Amino acid sequence: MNRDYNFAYLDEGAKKEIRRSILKAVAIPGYQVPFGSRELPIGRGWGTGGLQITLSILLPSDILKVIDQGSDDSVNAVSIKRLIKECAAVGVTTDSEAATVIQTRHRIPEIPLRGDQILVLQVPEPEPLRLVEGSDLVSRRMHGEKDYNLIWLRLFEDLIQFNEITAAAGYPVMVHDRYVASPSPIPRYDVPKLNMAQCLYLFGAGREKKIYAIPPYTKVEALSFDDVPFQVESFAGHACGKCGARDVFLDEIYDERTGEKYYQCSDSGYCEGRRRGAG
Amino acid sequence: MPDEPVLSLYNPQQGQEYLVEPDEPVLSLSGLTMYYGQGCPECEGDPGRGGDPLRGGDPLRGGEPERKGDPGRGGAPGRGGAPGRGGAPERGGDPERAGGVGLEKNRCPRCGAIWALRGVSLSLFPGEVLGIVGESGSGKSTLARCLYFDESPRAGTLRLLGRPENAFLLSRQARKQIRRESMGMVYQNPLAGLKMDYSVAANIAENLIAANCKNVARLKQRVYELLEIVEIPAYRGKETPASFSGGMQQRVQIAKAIANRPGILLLDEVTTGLDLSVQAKVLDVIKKIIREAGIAAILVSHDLAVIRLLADRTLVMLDGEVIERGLTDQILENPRHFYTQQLVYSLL
Repeated sequence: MNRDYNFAYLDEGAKKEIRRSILKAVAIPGYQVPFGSRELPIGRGWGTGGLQITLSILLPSDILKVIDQGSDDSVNAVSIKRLIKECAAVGVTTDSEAATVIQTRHRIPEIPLRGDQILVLQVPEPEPLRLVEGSDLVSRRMHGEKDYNLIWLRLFEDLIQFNEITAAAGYPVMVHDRYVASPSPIPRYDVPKLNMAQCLYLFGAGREKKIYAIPPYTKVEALSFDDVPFQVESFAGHACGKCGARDVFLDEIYDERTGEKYYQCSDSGYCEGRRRGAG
Repeated sequence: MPDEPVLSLYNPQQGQEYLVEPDEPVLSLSGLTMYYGQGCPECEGDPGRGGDPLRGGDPLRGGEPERKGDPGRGGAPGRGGAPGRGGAPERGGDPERAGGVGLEKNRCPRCGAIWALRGVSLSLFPGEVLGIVGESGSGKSTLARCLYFDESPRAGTLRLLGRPENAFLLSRQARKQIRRESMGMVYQNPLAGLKMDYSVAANIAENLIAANCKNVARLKQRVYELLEIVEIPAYRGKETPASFSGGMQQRVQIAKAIANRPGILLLDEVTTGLDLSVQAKVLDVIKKIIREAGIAAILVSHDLAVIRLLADRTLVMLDGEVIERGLTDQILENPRHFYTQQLVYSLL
């Protein structure tokens, strides 16, 4: 640990303020709580929201896992992991079961998380109304009045134009029957994992300066019409080329030389665990 | 001037006209007052001063506290300057600015407030069409926007569909709910009523979705029914209104306005800017809908031909006030007020 920095990089005042915002977010599931987003040694938009939450909640006894697009080894994940390890003497792992705090972008791990685990999501755009309403003032008023008709209209427009809802990531969800939230750009496949989960989900948007949360055992429903049920991505007929897993979210990889498509687990930690177990 | 809650029945055999007391009004408005700016009413000594009796600056549309770009307001010289309540000295004693030259005649000489409506009262009865005529700037469209909760009046009582409470004093959510479930509005400018980046079908479905219809099959069925009613080919439902002509955009607005089978339909200059043949088509559609569905409608227009064709009763407005009211035939054949006479005879 680098002694030149305060524990977990941020000063204690900053951590305290962010923790207070987190507490408010947990108390009002799905509500976006503004917070004073700090300067960090990574650029805004590269996960500063998630990083500030992680740095604020870390204890020396924690074990950290950082994933980016499901992978433990991507550049962003490795850089964030090294930064945190440098500033806070916490253990790091690639095993989702062993981790107590998991910072992630775009994916929720394949294994169901436990009550003693916290999943921190990096969110580029926390406002689910942004696509349909440009004004922040009006968006906040719409949240206050639970007026989400424009989101429904956007979904209906998709059905008119394409006969299906095209939102692949960041699919709007109703949290605790009150606030519509954007579950960050996780794929639809991961959206059902938010409902009645045992773990705490924290969402941080550093650039937009917002924190929101889905506490354990909270009802989370993807918005869907009565006769057009919400559907997740299907990988029927495909399996991971490395571990052979079938009931997981798969990445499609195109080999330019052979022109063939391969599939492999998006969650690299899960894939590695399966191979280790098989080996 | 008292409202005349009558419907006329003409018996050709007896050559007599009967005035019939109709049912309870679906819309009853009294004392609607609207002005823009600080100060007024009448600047000093008014008990209502010191705070708007109604929630000012809380319109449902646009979301911003004050509307921008409204030619009736934005161009007012005194508006941006927020003159004090005592009145700007250079304005206070200037009879030309205060006294009634051109567009300045609605300005309060002391505080500079622009009066849009002064104590307008009216009733709308089931199944009738109430025409509102007047020159540009007389307050017709402001009246329609107040009734649709797009503008927040400074004073007035609005009772809708037999409910006892003043609808102007309801919460934003309650007003939105009334608007979505019981009212429809066709704006003069289609840009105000339609979302140009959504398909025609989605535009028409907007109020249905807002009224909590979340069944796609039912939504689509109703949308295509409405497209047929307003004579737009079903296959054009996927297109955006931006690709439509002005007349077709107005028909899309009409379909949207009647989607929820509202009790009250507000039509604000629906045929302005359309050529005569398209006007005729749009008016045919409106006439058919109003007669078949029995919707009560308020028709704002400066075109007396449109009023003659559709309206049962008519109000004439001038400078934010109702100066004459009565049966449409009576207004057009035997106008009493000097301004109405000018209006009628200049056209005929």
